[in-house]
Amino acid sequence: MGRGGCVIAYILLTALAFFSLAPCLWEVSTSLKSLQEVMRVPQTLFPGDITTENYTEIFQRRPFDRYILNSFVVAAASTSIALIAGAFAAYSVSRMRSKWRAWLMLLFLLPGILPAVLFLVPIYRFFSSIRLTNSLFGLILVHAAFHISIVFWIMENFFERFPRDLVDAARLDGFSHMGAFFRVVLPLAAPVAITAGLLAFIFSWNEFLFALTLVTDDSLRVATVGISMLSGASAYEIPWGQIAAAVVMTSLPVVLLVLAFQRKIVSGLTAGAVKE
Amino acid sequence: MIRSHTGSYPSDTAFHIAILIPAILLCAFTLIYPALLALHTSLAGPGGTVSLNYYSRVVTDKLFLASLTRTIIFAAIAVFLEFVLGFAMALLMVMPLRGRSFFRTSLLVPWVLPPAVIGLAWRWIFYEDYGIVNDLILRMGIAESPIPFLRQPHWAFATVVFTDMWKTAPFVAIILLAGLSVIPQELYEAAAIDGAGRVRRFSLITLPMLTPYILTALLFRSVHTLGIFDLVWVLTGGGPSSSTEMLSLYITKQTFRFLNVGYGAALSVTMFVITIAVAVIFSFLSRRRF
Repeated sequence: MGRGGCVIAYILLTALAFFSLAPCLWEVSTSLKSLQEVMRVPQTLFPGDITTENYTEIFQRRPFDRYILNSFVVAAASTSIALIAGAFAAYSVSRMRSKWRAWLMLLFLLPGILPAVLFLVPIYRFFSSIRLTNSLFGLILVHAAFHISIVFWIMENFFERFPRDLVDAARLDGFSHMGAFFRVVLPLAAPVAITAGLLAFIFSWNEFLFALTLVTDDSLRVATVGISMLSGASAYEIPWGQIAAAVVMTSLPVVLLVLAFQRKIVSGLTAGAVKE
Repeated sequence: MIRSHTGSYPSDTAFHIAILIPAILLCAFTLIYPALLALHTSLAGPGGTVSLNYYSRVVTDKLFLASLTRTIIFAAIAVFLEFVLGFAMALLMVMPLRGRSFFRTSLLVPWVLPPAVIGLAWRWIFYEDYGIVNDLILRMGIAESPIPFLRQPHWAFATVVFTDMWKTAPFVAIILLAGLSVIPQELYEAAAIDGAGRVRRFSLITLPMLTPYILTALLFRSVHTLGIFDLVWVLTGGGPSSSTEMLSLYITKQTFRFLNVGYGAALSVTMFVITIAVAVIFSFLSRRRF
């Protein structure tokens, strides 16, 4: 590649990076402006007087801390459940050579490929009949069931290439099945499990459809739903400054995860695509 | 106890079945049983009989058919644009440039943010009264009056397409990037020695080698775009005058606003069949030719 090609590539990449990040930076700027400045035309690029009133507003006048806590609880719990159940299932299926294998793969992978909305009415109907709506536990179960797909996808791919001899050797050394799985297989699978857990956590944090429809109690809302309720909070003016503050607070955890684990996230997403 | 080294242990199968149970229970309880129950509900006729009443209503429901057409048009346009932008991103990101990690991380950000949050961010940017885009357009004299990005049906549809493209092009880019990075460099060198130019190398090496990845990306994106919900819900709520009311929004409206759970179930089953058909077409394509 010539020097000219390099310069053009840099210009295009910089433009794309700006295109990707500009809305985020604009939200940060808006969140630090006063109510008057947000509505001022022409808009100022940076806040004239930096104020934190939007942040104090969403945390003191509204239960945004509660929403964020709920998001954390749901994401952490559903990720843990999916990791345990998904890793077990992936290990089992990777060792299978029967006709069941294809069916089990379909069962575990399909929920991740299909749009979640297909299951909305079924789950809503069933959960309301057994009083699992309006509870964080119900939401955790739904998230965990959907996360099984991503965990299974990433880990089955890993276990298939896992040397069987290692397990056999451990068994000969007197380990039980469980012992061999926990002491030999899992430690080696830890990096892959972390990748799967990261993706599951992000999906759960971002999930909106089920959080919106299954849970109606304000104290049980998660951040993505809480934020969408802000725009209808005032009949006259949409509180863009407060919304921006909430956008920043809700985005922060996932942005930090991407900054820290960009490589892992990319490798996890492509695990299945790379598989021949 | 000493067992033979080769062959399965007697209790191997039992162990492998036992550890499948948690995942199967979870899927059965939250996905499969509710799905079967909904199928049953959608077939319920008067007095406990089996009937196709809900389905005959589905195929004659003008609003549903309009929503289906709208969703398919939306998916076709959005997936095409995402694919073009994502492909360009992947070709740029695979180059061995300094600062590659920074660019990869930046370009990944839109995909990883919550769609509901993205919807709100763009709604503010495209806000008619004092949003930044209209502010700039007026100041630069491109238009005389603010553009009704979310108030006029065609503009609203275009805005949703644009926002969806912004969010999901990185996903396409990541999948294609994985494909691009496993193409052996020697192929390009050999082709260059044979006198193949840039365009020929792209069409003879890059495209054929990338085809399985392209089909994977298109399959995922098409199926998910048919089920788009969060972004549209927050951006337009399906409006103005149903111009952005996609299938998922129509189903939730029938179910939660009109409290028509049986009809909502029939709509879900119909949408399930359509989605599976799309997925089968894609996997057929990828198996037949490559």
